[in-house]
Order: sequence, then C-alpha cells, then structure tokens
Amino acid sequence: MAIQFIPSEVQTMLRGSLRRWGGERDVRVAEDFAQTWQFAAEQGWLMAGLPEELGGLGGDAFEMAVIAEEFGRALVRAPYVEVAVAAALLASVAPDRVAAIVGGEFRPLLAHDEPDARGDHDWVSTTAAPDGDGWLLTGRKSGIIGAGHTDGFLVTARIGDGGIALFEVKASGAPLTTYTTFDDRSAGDLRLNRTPATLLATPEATVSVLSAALDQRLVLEGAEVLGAMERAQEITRDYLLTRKQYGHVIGDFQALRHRIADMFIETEQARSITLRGLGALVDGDPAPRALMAAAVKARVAQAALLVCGHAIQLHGGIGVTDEYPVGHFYKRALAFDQRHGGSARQVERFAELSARA
Amino acid sequence: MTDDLFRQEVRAFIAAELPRDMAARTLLGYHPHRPDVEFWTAKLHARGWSAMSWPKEYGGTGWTLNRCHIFEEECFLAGCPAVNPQAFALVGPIIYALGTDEQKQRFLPPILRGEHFWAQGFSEPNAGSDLASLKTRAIQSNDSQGDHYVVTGQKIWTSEAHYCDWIFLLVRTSTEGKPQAGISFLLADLKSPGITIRPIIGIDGGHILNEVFFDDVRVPAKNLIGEENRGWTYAKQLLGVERTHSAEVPRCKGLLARAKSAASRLAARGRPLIEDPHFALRIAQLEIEILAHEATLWRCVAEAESKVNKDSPTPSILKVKGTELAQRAGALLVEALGDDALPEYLERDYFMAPAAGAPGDPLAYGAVSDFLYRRSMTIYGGTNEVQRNIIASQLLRG
Repeated sequence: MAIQFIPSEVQTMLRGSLRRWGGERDVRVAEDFAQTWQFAAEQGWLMAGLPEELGGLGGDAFEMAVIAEEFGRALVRAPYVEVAVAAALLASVAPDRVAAIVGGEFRPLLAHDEPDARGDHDWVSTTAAPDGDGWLLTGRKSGIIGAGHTDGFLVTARIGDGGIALFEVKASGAPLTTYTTFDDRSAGDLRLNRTPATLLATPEATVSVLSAALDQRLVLEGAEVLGAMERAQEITRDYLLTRKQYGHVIGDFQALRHRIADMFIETEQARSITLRGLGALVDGDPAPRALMAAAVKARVAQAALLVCGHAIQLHGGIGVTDEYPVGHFYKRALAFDQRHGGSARQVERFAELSARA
Repeated sequence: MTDDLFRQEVRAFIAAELPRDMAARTLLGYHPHRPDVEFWTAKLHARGWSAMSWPKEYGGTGWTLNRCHIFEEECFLAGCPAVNPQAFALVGPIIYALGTDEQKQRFLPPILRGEHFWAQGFSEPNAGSDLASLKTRAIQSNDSQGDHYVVTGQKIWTSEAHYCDWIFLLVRTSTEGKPQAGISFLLADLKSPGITIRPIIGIDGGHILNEVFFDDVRVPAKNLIGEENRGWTYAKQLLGVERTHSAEVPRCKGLLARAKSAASRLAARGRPLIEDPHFALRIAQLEIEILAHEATLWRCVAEAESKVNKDSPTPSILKVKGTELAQRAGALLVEALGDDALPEYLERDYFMAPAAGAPGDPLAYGAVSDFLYRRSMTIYGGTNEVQRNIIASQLLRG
C-alpha cells in the first residue's frame, strides 16, 4: 500500500511555504483571485501533481493534498482542487492542453455533477448530439465551484444510448449562471440547451479516467476540509486558554475539555482516512480506490461538521458572528458535505460498492 | 523480508501449529483457559515468538512495532489464545527495564516459556481512576529470615488472579508528601500465606475478575522493583509504553467480520439481513470508522518508529476509539442475531455440544457474553473519560 505517513523533506518545505503564505490571510474574506492564482503558478503549486513530461513537477497525490490542506486551513476560495482535477483529466485525454494550466493562464473545470446525481458517479442525463464536425449538449450541470474564474468546462454527456463522453464547452458564451456560495466561493450552473461543444474523449477513452478523476476529487476535497477543521480546532483551543468565565479560563471546565478532546479525536480520524484515500489514489486500483474515496468523503464530512460545529459552540455567541473566523470554517464544512452526495449518501455508496466487491 | 512475506510466515506457522478446536473456541470470545494459553505460549516460545514486543537480549523477537501489529492481527483473527497480557505487555517490560540482574534471571524465563502467569494489582475499592489514592500498605521489617515487607490491604478487578502465579503490586510505603510520592512497586507470589482470592462474576456470567485480599503477607525485600517510593513513576512509565496495543484493531475487524457473516447467514423478512439497507448502512458506517482508526494506528506506529511528532496526543486516542468501535461492532453482531441471541450461552454449554433442538443458533455462542464483558473496555486501563481528560491536558498545556 502506498500510504505515506511521514512527510518527505520536499513536502515539509512545501507545507512550510504554504503555511507562511496562508497564515497572513484573513479567512473571513475572499482573496484577490487573479493575484492568488498568479502567485500559485509562480510557486509551482499548480504544476505539483502534473507529470514532468507535460511541464509539471511529477508529484503525487500526497503533494497535491499538502497544497489542498493548506488552502483549506486558510479558507482560500480559489478552486485549486477543482482545477487540479480537471488538469489531471486533461493530462490523460488532451495532454497538449496542460502546459497552459501550469502557467496559470488556462483554468478548466470539470462540469459533471447534476442536481439529481447526489454523488452517483455514473448519473449523467446530459445528452450530446452530433452537429456537423461538433456536438450539441443539452442538460444541467450544477455546483461548479470556481465557475466565475474559468475559461473552459470539461462537460460529461451521454452519446445516444451509449456511454459517457467528455466534451469541452468554452466559457465565453456558455449558458452559465454564476452565483456566490454560502461559504463565499464563486460557483455556477450550466444550463445547456443545444450548446456547441467539442469532443475531448469518446466513452471508451473517458470511462476509466473519469472515475479516477471523481475519486481524486473526493479525496483532495477531503484534504482541503481537513485543513479547515484543523485550523478551527486550533483557534478553539487558543480561545479555551484565554476566555475567562466564573473566574477561570473556560478550558478548565471538564465539559468543554471533553469536547476539545472529541474535536481532536475526530480531526485525527479525518486525517487518517484521508491518508488512506491518498494511498488508494496512488495505488490506482479502481475498485479499492472508489471504496476508499467514498470512505474519505463520508468520514471527513462527519468529522468536519462535528469539529467546526463544536468550534462554534465552544466560542459561545462570538462563534456565530460573521466577524469571527470559526463560523466561516463551519460554512466550508457544510458546503463540502453538500456537494457530490453528502456523507450519508457516501456511506450508502460505500455499502453498495462493498456489496459489489 | 517484506511485511507481506512476514505475514505469510506467521500464517503458515499458525496453520501448522494451532489445533482447530482450540482456534474455534478461542474465536467465540469466552475468557481464556490457562491450559490453552500455556500450550500456545510454549509453541510460540519454541519458535522464539512468545514475547513479540521484547528486545532480543531478553528473549523477545526484537520486531518493529509494525511487525508486532501484523503478528497480533494474524494471531487474533486465526483464533490463537492470547499470551498472558499482564506478564508480556506489563510486568515483563518493567522487569527488563528496571529490574536487577537477579530479578531478570528469575522472572523473565518462566514468563517466556508460558509457565508463570501474572496478575496486575493496581486498583482498589476506593482507588479506581484516582489510582494514587491507593491504601494497601507495605511495612518494612526484618527478622531471622531476612528483609521483607508486610503487605496488608485489598486489590480489586484483578483479571485472571485465580489462575495466576504472581502478582505485581502498587503499595503504599509512605504517607508523606503527595499521594503519588509514597508508592512502591512490589512482586508477590500469589501462593504466599495471607493472600485470599475471591471471584467476581461478571454480567457476562463468566469469571475473570477477582478481589485479592492481603493479610500480613510477607514479601521479600528483593522483590521490590527499583527504589522504594518511586513506584508511581514506574507504573506511569508502564502505562505509557505500547499504548498502540490498546487500539484493539484486530478485535474491531474480527467482530465486524463476524457481524457481517451472521448478517449474511441470517434472514430478515425473507432475505439476508445484510441486504437490509438500514443494517447495511450501519455496517458500512462502522467499517469506514474502523478503516480510519486502523490508519491512525499505522500512523502512530510510523511516527513512533521515525521518532517524529512526539508531543502529539494521538496515541491516547487509540484506546478511546478502539474500545468504542469494538463495542459498537459487538453490538451489531448481537443485533444481527436477533431472537437467537436471547438464550444465555455459557461456555460450558458450548463444550457440552448442545442437544439437537436446543434453542438459539450456534453463531450466538460467545457473542452476547463477549459483548457484555466488553462493556468493561471503556472502563479499564483508565476510563475513556479519563483518556479524554488526558487528551485535553495535552492539547491545552500552556
């Protein structure tokens, strides 16, 4: 098994520079996107997980997870994981498109989820019909994080009664409705109605790379939220040591001590399952990878909601205010649980995938 | 040798040496039998494997922590009787770390051979979680037969004392200073005059726990470990070692597998219970949590071996999660059995091979009694509430 428990020197350095950068951020507000993305490109963060022959650094999922986790700690709104997942897909089906991602100029996003899919990877009702040299797509793609910052969507759609193929829809002129999520990120919905698209990969070429990308997405988003809950726990710990009531710091009260202990226990469970998921990504065997990705999503979401929820509770009134950070971490955890099928659905998927194994 | 090859070697050894009937009854989860444990410890000893976690120079295997966990898991899942834990995991390491040469030579070899079983004499009726308030006293004395201590008091919850040979004790040798300061660590022969052992029958209907009474028991002074009044420090050291062994990963996995197999065999409204979506969901939830817990154990082992992250409270969570998950897995097994779990399945019934038409289901042997006994897991070794206090103290220190 490819799990890596002890970080390499490279990962430790990478984490250090991300931590310094992220530590200066005010987590309550969105960063300047263009500046952040350019900086990320300069630092090599965008190429960390891409193969060397395509201009990347050849790192594996563990390196990408370090970046995701640190972005999560700092509640960076930019779609790092989302673009990384699209980049990994393109590296398989259209490698010539990758160089522009490395430099930060091209920011593709995967548009796969549909409102009624609820985390089912194969649930695609968007259709593709041939139209001269190209294709016309019809259907709705929802919950696309980063949609306001992208220049191209990688859209999954069914060809006739056949399988799921991968298409590209240019952002300019796309039927996109953008909005801001409740955790303050740019997002959007594609309402495709005979929208022109180019074919990137046939169903045969899509099936295995898509399932790899969807598993990778679950695990790397898990790493991102792991970072968020870590930080929420640390802020809470510091608060327990400073806030006084009844003449004591509130960290003296056993009821609260047990809660911070539970926050720690849950965070560590989330970390462990994420590492296991990363190991499964690196191993690449599809069946165990899918099972572990579902486990990561379920376990991390449960842990994140408990940890960030306790973070609010232990702060008292200040915890529910917009001006205090912990509530923002809770919102990130809630949004994470909401996407691609929540934790309850992922437990169900885990049961279904186990029964099939 | 790779870990996989090592695992295969362990498997092959067990397959060759462990009698089937012994494996079958061990897997039921009833309390250990001394003859089974003696038999298996001797087999392991012949291979040099009885003390998996001890250094080679004291007759152990010298294995890495990771190897120990592989070994433990294979043994547990195959139904090997566990070696006497008080001897191998607790007093043995104390003796080789702190004992005199004479103590090492005298006590370690019979443990390795499976001849001496040890009990732990720590808890007292009024000293549970607050162990330092213990009152059993040991008074130094000297007569024609030499220096010795006279021990008087009572220990309780003493697992396996009724078939053990020796007991290691925390006793009060001084009432001055803080309660922790006047405690000493003594080794006593359970056959000594003045020791009375009374059984405590558990809610499982079984006998593993005891009360041990000391009435002017003479313990030679040479059976003192280390220095007088420093026993608390030694005991803490002992509780700190190998915290990873309380993670109960093999038990969690074993109980989960048993729950799944019971649910696959038993029907619920015309189809296997495992196909009931609600039951399948709870199995899946538990399995996901066990996967996370197991990876936490691996991580703690990797960190301990690379000596990183030493100040982290992570190892303390292993006991909390391991015991809570094992209890939940046991509860699912019991639930899967439904009405067939209701008859009281004592171990003697199993040994007597129940008559045809006996109530219940053979799958139920041991399931409920083990589940009931395992309510103690979240209590012994420092209650899970105390463990949470420890985690919080580590997190909140300055």
